Amino acid sequence: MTYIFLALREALRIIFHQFGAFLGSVLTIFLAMLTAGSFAIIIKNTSLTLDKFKNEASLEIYLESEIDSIAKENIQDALVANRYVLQVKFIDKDMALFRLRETFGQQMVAGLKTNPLPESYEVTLESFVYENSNFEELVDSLNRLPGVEDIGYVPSAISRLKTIFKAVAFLGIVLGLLVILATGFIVGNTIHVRIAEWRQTFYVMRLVGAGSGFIYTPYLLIGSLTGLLGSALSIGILKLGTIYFCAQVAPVSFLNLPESVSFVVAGGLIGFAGSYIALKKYLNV
Amino acid sequence: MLIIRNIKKSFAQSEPILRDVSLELGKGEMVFLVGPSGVGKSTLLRLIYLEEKPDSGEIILGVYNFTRIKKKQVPVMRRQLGVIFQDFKLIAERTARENVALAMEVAGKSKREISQRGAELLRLVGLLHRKNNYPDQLSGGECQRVAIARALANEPLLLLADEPTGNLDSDNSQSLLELLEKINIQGCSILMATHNIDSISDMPYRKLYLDNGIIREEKN
Repeated sequence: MTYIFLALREALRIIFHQFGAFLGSVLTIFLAMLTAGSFAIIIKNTSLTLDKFKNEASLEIYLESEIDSIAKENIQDALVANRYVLQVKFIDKDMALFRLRETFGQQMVAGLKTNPLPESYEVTLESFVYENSNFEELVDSLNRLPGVEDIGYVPSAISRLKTIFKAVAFLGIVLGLLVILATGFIVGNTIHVRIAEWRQTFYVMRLVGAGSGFIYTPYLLIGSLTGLLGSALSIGILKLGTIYFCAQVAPVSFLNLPESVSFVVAGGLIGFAGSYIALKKYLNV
Repeated sequence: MLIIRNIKKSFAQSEPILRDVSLELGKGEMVFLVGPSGVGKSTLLRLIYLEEKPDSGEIILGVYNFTRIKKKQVPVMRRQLGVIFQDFKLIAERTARENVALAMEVAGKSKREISQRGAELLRLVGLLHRKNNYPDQLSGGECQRVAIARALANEPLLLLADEPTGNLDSDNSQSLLELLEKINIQGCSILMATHNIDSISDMPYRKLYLDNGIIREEKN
């Protein structure tokens, strides 16, 4: 019989005989991982929203009314050469008017005798321009180009979103670390509480010639299994919650398969670490 | 087979419980270690199964000299011993058969070997029909018999018995002593600690009296 098979069999035997205590540990870890999982989903959705916003965001570079064709070409060349610029599109006065009509309706432009709208370049930016202070610098430099009247963008929305994302990510990381510590502590403490009743078993096993590995491996497996089941259960409930939220409130992205698997595995590792530390601390393994 | 020379053992700052203990036990011998409670009988047995270390002196069991034994060798050495206690020390979550199997699983025996030897031992102690019962479904005498079967699982050089009749009534005690005699006749050496001299006074085996930290042997 292989060593690991014996350890697994022993772990299942202990779980079977102390099922209530095991279930209690699983449920406690489930609650802790539910909190961690909720934050992971919030962070993911905030990040996706920000990315989407970045991709959709563009600059409107309005040109002076008296601008000549050489200055226009110079501006276009400068834009195309800029590493933060992804795409450049020229919008002439007719197109600008057409868009205005499309957006606000015929009544909006009905009274106009001449077209007052300026020519412009519509510029789509690389998403990394929003990192650090690149965005503000870019806007300043484009504003200084000869022939540019003004630049239209939504700086406050972008910076607000960046701030929110940073806050959520920071909170998520801090809370995630706290949950990891708390979960490890819960598993460790559960093992510690039950060490008293296992002490005789450990003693008997030592007496019949069992080495440390043989004695403690089943308990490490129980810790890992507790973490795995607790986190798997929390992922399941979060998935159901997300489906309900999508149907009733608004679309929300759930963790993808690799992320979900990593989350469950992390739960197992936390359980393993918690039991290892408890055994090491209280039994001098 | 077992040689103990000039063992001294004390706990914390107190007077030594064992001051100068020496004894020898030959292969196939059965010996009683007698003395009132608290005199150090269990301590001496704990030194033999390496649960405690002596302050000084030497213990040799077979090829193992305990003063030079490495930590890694301790589990292997313990498989050469069988130990039974007053409170049986059975694992509550295991049936009688599984408690006996444990000692063989630890030694890496095959499933078939464990099954055969387990049945053989439970038959020897008269409990084959109770093999699937848990300790809390067995009487004290039956639990002690399961503990003996477990202790014999790996064919030990020496069986240590620490007050094995302490929790049993007189009938069960007598029956247990008869079982130990039967095991001894089959070739297993036995060192049994007891405070109950009356129960063993008629038995034709060596009796060592532990008193004031020293062993005195009764000469027939």
